[in-house]
Amino acid sequence: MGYTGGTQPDPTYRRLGDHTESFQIDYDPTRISYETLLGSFWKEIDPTERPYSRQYMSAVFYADEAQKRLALATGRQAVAGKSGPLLTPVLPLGTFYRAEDYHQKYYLRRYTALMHELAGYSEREFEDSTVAMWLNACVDGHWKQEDLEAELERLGLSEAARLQMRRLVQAALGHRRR
Amino acid sequence: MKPALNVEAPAARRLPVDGMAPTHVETATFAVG
Repeated sequence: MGYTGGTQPDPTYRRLGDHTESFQIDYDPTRISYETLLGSFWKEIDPTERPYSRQYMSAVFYADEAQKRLALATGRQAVAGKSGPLLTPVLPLGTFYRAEDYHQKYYLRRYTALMHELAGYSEREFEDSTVAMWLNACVDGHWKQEDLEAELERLGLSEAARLQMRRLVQAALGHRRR
Repeated sequence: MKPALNVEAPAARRLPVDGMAPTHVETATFAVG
């Protein structure tokens, strides 16, 4: 999580200036493509919606010409058949400023027992941890039941943490059914 | 109060997935408002 797109040096949450709250994903291009990530992004937002504010707008920040081309091409596809034009900004990436620690893996931080799984990680290691990313997504209800056991096996969590994860996924599924 | 990591715990443990980071990663940047 961080801030980018603006001109104010060293922004913070309270002194954001003209930056936008944003996030970076480090991904393995042999396992997932930028185009696939863009596909998820366009599904998550309404590309015909005018940005609400500079702080909270949706946007793609491209790092190079190849990313720019793909972002614009997939954005155009995303609005095909919709009633309005593409209004989501596709902007060049400038400096990306990491947000304060407490914004990183925000949901996970409330779960003391799960945080204990990552005891010994520095803040920076925690922020960049793939396991922390998965756990954060789980506690916010984004895991699917069919992924649960394979992921628990892969992450190498303690038995207590596995139990808690199963409960969280079941609870999220129950919540969705209601 | 800011929830803190337990920095006093032994640093030796790394969960398997974090120990197998790919050698080459690319970065995507988005904002979802």
